[in-house]
Formats: sequence, structure tokens, C-alpha cells
Amino acid sequence: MSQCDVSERPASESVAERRYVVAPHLMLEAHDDAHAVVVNTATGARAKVSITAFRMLSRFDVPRTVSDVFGRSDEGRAASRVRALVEHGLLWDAEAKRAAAKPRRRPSPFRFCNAPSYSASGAVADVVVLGVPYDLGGSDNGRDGPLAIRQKSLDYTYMVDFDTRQPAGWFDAGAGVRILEGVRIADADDIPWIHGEPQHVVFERVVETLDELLPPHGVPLVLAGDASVSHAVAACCAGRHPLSVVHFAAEGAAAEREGEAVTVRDVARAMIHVAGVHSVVTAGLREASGYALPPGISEVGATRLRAGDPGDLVAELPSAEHVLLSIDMSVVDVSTPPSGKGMSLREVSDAIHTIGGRHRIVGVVVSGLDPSLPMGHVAAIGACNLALQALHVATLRRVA
Amino acid sequence: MTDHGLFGWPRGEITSLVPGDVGVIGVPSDFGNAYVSGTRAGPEAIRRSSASMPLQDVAGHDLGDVDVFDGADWPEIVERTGERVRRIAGQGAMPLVLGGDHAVSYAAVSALDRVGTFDIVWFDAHTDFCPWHGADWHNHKQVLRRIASLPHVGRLLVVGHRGITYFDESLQWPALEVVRSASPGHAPSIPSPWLEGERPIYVSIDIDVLDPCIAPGTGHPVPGGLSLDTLCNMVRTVARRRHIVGADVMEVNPLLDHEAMTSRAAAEVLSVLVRARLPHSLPATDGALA
Repeated sequence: MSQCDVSERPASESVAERRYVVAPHLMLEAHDDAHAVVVNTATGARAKVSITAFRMLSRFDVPRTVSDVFGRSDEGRAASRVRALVEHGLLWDAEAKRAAAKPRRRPSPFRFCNAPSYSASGAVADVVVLGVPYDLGGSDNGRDGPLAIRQKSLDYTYMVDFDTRQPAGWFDAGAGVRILEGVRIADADDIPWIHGEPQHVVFERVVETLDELLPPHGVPLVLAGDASVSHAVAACCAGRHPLSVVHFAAEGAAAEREGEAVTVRDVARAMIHVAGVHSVVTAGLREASGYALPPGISEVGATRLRAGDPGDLVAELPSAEHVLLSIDMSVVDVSTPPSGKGMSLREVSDAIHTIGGRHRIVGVVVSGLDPSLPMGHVAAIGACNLALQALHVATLRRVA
Repeated sequence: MTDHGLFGWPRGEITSLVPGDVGVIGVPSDFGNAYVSGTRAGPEAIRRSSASMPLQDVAGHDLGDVDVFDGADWPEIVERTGERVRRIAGQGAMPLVLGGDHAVSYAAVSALDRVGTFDIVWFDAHTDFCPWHGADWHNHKQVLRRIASLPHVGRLLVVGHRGITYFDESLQWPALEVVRSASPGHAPSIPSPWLEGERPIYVSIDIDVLDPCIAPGTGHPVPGGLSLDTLCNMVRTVARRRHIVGADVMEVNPLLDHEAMTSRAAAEVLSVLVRARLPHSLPATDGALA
């Protein structure tokens, strides 16, 4: 635990004029008459401060200048204490520009599993969550999907053990094991896009942002509006490793690509042309597309996966290949009893575990969720479960 | 408030009950929920849904709701609920509790201490066996851990456990047996040792044991749950083979429900339970309770 000395230091004019705010994720853990212990719930780091300093900290609950809080007369004296709090990371300069703020991202009202925000965590994340609510690659309404997944994910709270400073992970009741223990997750908000922007501009923004945010061995979890976004994520991941893509989807590839834009129907055909992508397997199809497939693209239907085992899927992948998982939620039939030909959550989860047992999963995209549909909220829960299972498999080898 | 009680049974007082009857109370509580509120409206929603399935062939009285909105704290609510349950059992009737959050089950189970040792079948997506945390004494996440420590509670069976939780539920009670939710193509069933024996059973149903497609109106739904048929079959099997000392259905949250699907499912499974239970009553213990 760090000791935060906030005795007076020489004041500076700049400190007095700037606005400050309490650093995110701080929580009061304990206090007595003389001291308070505050803990950063994102990192588990503790700091012991005097009760005077803690009271001072509490007054910056919203961005304020030193003179807003202490008045002009005490400004000089208070400014030096404020600077000490800033140096210890307990107060933030609300006007400072941070590297992580570029390129611009749009804040999301919720963070995935309430994990720390990327900008605030101050830690090297193992998993970076990014929302891309782009859904002009198809006719379905998927732009609210990332928000719905994040909102529902609040049932699965990310927690840090304050003693070990390690993320506590979750308990998988079905398997009876803990998952994602020690894996640091940070949520990097959404990629903004506007109508009228060419698709390639939005996708370039996605690639640029992921390139900037991802640490060398970091795994992106992209919550996408529709499956066309997988093309951008594949471009990012393939820039780091030669790659195969397993694209879970209800429908197979279209006959041919139409136009420049990537659509949910031809994303598999589009991804095979990304430099560094060796193969694309579309898995979980309710019916075979019936079209001749170009080299590098294959299809495994839901019936074949269900009748055999997920090993049939893995057989389609080059050995020792890095794999991007692209999960279009249309592949899942969440109804009980199953009313369609889609795969159950369990079947998709089993397939993910099988892939992860033989390949290294380097990225996960979850897309195609329309929360306004009758079973949209159930699909959102399913999306959270699949995302956590996929991240568990993706980070298992790294943590071990 | 509905004019009639659960399943069209008359509203009544404790003294209306005779041995063998079902005595219904509602506990409109949200106090044990950590985040999601709305189960306070559960009892009334279940009663309303049950109006379309009147039970003429089973004798019961609905004794109304325990008062929880007069500034009472949790210990008082537990005490009030427990007193009602104790008095119903004292008449030789079977207490049937409509929740409310699942923490309420502790009040009912703890109040049945004079029945002797009994086992518990706990239908739930979660084990409710989370570790203690802080001073949050009554919480639906660890209610079964509290119940397990009661001296008159024997074995525990949790049915339907599944999904992902953020608490570690791996450290469980030695007497706790878990039947996980269905694997593909295989519906879960009650283990055969649980269908034998003279010891009575308390049945607690957290409605989130059902799949969210069937019961979306609950605070922490988990995909991959039981079908209503499966749940009803399991409840029917237990009720026909073992003496039911008491029962509850919890966590129905009408604020999150869709066209009363969840409260209707709750009413249906309760109707199965009260119809199937063995035609016997517990010995009246009112004198002992006086």
C-alpha cells in the first residue's frame, strides 16, 4: 500500500486554474479519525491518505478548479495539496489530453461486465472490449446489440481481489470451474460512425483503433452491430499473425460479392481476400448455401456439427493456426424447446472450446444481436455467456 | 389486490385452516436482492395468473401478504414470515409461500424447526451458496448457505444449476447435491435416492430455474434452463413420493415479465405441486406452539 503524503508543496499557477476530478474506480475501503484507505477497484492498488486529504478528494466528485472548491483566499495553499493528490493518481486533471483518447471513441453508458474503462484502468489489459455498433452490412437492426450485451453483462460483474490485485474471474457452474481468473479486461467504449460515411472509412477506424489499443498479446472482444465488422477485425488480427477465421452464422456465403461494401452475406468471401487470412470456415449453417465456394472458404452445417462433434469443424482449419472467432448470434437458437434448426448455446460453446483446444484464439467478435426481437434479451444473455467462454479459451494458454 | 386468493381459494385467517389444507402467504419483499428490484410485486402477479386455473379439488386458504412496507427491517420481516409459517404448520396445513426474493425462503425453512429434520429440494439456476460478504446478512445469493446451517435441515438437492456467476460457488456444503441443467437431448431428473425415505421435504422453486424463454420475468435469468414440462414433472415426482412439509416459489419479477409468462409458469408449477402432494397432513402442533 502506498503512503500518500499530501503535505504542502510550492503552489503553481497552473494547478490552481485547472479543473480536477476524482480518479475513476476509487472506493473508500476503511478509515479512522486520522487516515483513510482508498482502493482502486480496477487494479486493486491501495493508498493510505490523511483524513484531511480524503475530505479534499471527496470535494472533487465532479470536475472543479481549486478555487471552486476552496475559494480564492485558500487557493494557493490548497493547490499544493491538490498537486500531491494528482501525483499519486488519486485526482485527475480533467483537462489533460490522454493518449488513449485518440482516435476518438464514443463513450458507452455501460462497460462490459463493468470492467474498468480502458482510459482509466492504467493497467495493461489482456482483453480489450470495443463496441462497433455498425449495422449497414445487412438489413437487420443490430446497432443496439453492443449496448444490450453490455447492459446484460452487468449481471456478470468484473471484480478484482484487492489482496492479490488480480481479477477474480467467474465461476462456470456448468463445468464447475473458475474461468478468466487473473485476466485483465478493459472496455474501450464504442467506435463512432455516421450515416453517409463510406464503410471502408468506418472499418479503417476500427483497424486503427484496435492497432492502437491492443497490447502485443492482447485479445480484442469486439461487440459489433452486424457480422460485416468481422472483416475489419480480421484485417487487424491478420496484420499481427497469419490467420484463420471461424465465422459462426446461420446462413452461408452469397453467390458472389456485390459492390465494394462488405455485407453479412458475403463477409466470408470478403475476409478470404484480407492479406494474412488463410482460410475462412463458416460454421453452424442451418442450410448449406449451395454455391460453389472459392479456395480457402469452407462450410460446416449445424446438423453436421450436432451429429458429429466439433472436431469436424477443427478439421477444416490449418494446423497450429491463429484463429479469429466471429460469432453472429443468428447462429444460436435460444428458444426452449428449440424451435429452429439453429445451434444451442451449449453446442456453440462446445465448438469454441474444441477450437481453443487446438488453436490459439486471437480475437472474438460477437455480432448480429437485435434486442428488439421477442427473444432479444435472452440472446443478449447468451451473447454474454459465449463472449466470456470464448475469452476464457482465448486467454487460457497465456495465463497458464 | 385480487378479490380471491391463489387458485381462487378464499381469503382467510389462520383459524380457517384444517389439517391437510394449503395455507398461502405472500411476502412482497425485494430486500434480499442485490441489484434488481421488482419481486415485491411477485405474489400478486402469481395470484392474478392463477385465477385462470382454479383448484376446486384441493382445499386451501390464502392468508394474504406479510406486511413488509411499514418500516420493518429484515429481521422483523423474517420474524413475521416465520410466525405465519409456524402457525400454518401448527394447524396441520402446508405452508405455501409466494415471494419475493429468494432470501425469504430462510424465514420459512427456519420456522419449520418443530417438524423435525427434513430435506430440501431447491430448484434454482444458481446454488445460492455464495461466500459470506460483509454484513449483508440476508441475501438471495447465499440464502442456501444459511439454510444449510440450520440444525433441522438434512440433505439438500439443487436442481438446475448452470451458467456463469461472479462469485465462487465451488466451495459447497458436503450434504449438498447438485443436478445440473439439461445436457443436449437429456432432461434432468430427480436422483432416485431422493424419491425414497420417510423424511419430509421442503420444496423451494426459484423461477429462474426455468429457461428465460419461458420465464423472462426474473432478476438474474440464465440461458439453458429447464422447460416447464420438465420442472412440473420433477415437482410432481417429488410430491408424489415424499411428504411435502412446505413449499415456496420465489423471484418472480413482474416488472421484467412479458405478458405474465413468468407468473403464469409459477402458478402452473404450484398447481402441479399441490395436486400431486401425498394426501396426508402434518400433525397439528398448535398446542406446542401456543
